[in-house]
Amino acid sequence: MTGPMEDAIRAVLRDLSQEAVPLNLTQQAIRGAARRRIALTAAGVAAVTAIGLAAAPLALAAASREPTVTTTPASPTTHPSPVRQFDPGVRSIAVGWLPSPFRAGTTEVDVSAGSQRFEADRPGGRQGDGVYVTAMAAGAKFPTPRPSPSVPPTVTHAAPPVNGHRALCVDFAPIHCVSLRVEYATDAWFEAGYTSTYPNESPGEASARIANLRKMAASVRMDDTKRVRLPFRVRQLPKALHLTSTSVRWPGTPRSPWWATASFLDRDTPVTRTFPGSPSVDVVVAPASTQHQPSNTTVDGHPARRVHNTLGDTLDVFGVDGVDITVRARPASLAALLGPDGAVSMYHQLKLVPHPGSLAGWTDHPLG
Amino acid sequence: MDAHAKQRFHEFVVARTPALIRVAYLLAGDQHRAEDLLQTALTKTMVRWRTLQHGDPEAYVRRVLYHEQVSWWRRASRRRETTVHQLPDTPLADPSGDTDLRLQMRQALQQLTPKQRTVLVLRYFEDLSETQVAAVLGCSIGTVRSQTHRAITRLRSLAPELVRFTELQEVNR
Repeated sequence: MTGPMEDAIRAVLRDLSQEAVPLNLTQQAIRGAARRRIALTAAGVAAVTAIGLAAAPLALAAASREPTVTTTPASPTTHPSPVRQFDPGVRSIAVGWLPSPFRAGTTEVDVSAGSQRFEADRPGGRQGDGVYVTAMAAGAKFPTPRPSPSVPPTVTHAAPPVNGHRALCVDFAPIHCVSLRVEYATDAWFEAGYTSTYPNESPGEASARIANLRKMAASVRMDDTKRVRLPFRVRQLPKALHLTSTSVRWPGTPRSPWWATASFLDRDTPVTRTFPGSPSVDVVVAPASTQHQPSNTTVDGHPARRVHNTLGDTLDVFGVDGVDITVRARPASLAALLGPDGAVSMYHQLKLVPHPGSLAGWTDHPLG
Repeated sequence: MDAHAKQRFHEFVVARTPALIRVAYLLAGDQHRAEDLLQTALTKTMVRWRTLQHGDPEAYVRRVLYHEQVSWWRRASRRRETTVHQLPDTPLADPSGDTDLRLQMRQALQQLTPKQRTVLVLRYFEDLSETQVAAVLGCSIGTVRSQTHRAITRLRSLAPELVRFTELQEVNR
């Protein structure tokens, strides 16, 4: 609708929207989320208690078990010369031991942040309930939430060395040693931790958690050279772009399926820390979903949805060989580098591997 | 949430709050409710941040904003406040007309139902198509059309300055 009345409403809404006072709601959101999590946990505990009355013998038997050790024994830890920047196509972290029942899940290599991340999830659980190792390149600092009177600061203090290397415990009051940092090479650190925090854990549970952290940290190697594998190849990357990060989650769960992402940036833009919504060209491949936004176009006969405006160019192509493909470029100036038809041009440079839903066929040479 | 994810969430909020608070302001009608609305949406976003940070978290925040706005209305319908149909004080006429128009529009928007206001914001501030609005709100296109029509009709009667402004725009074309 572009009638005068609609134009007038647009103009007045734009004008009215300027009255809003910008403010930073981050800390309130964090506190709100914590309250929500506690409320959800309380509800969950109540439900579990109710179920537990019926299944008490089984529950008691399970609770009496010590946290168990899985799989591979701890590998010898080697500590190479520190790197100043990771290669976004290579995974350097290898974790030799994981606490039960976690299993390897997400790997993220983000050259912009100077970090690599490895996550292991609870099978069948939601994403975010697991353990992680984040390694920083030499000289790169761990991100720290800005100090605020309402959020307790993270405090680090010396911990017994891990494999002879300096270690620090990170406290996030009231939780002691929420994560463990190890200096794997000069001025280069990795952090091992649980992605969920447990404010109500007993002293015994806390000790077991910290022992698990130390064992996991001791099994970390930073000299792996495994190339990140993706379910697609970019046949001809626009010359102006280069790979800045890769992120893979495999295997997924019904709640949070697998995905594979490669991100690119133009060479003229300085590589700085990225955050969602910052300038980037992203290619995301994930299992085909039936719960997507309605399509508004077709690409090569596949239903697709394209939103192309001043903010950027996003193309979702649905149900290609059992996967959905997204090409997202922000802002529009970056989309213009993708070719005459923006995100569609980039899409036409993508080639899926045969059977992209099977990890076996993924390629470790996604460019060219 | 670990420090890394927390930092990314913080950066997202800092970068996008100026845009999001404007949408919330238009939906809610005043600054305090806008802050509450956005706060609620961000809290829900943070709970799902581990999944969302790899996708499009802003789209999720916006979707929560729209749905919260409509569900607030449903919850509030049992304890609705008395609507003041007249401004307590009559403002002096503004030679430019803009202030009158804005005041009338703000007042008029307050008197629309939240669903009507949400539809207007989605159609004319976010510039979404009727199909897109229907998808976001989870209703039919027919509902979007009828809500839009009712909202505009109501605005015409509540904000005569808008009609005058429209006529002026026509003349200047």
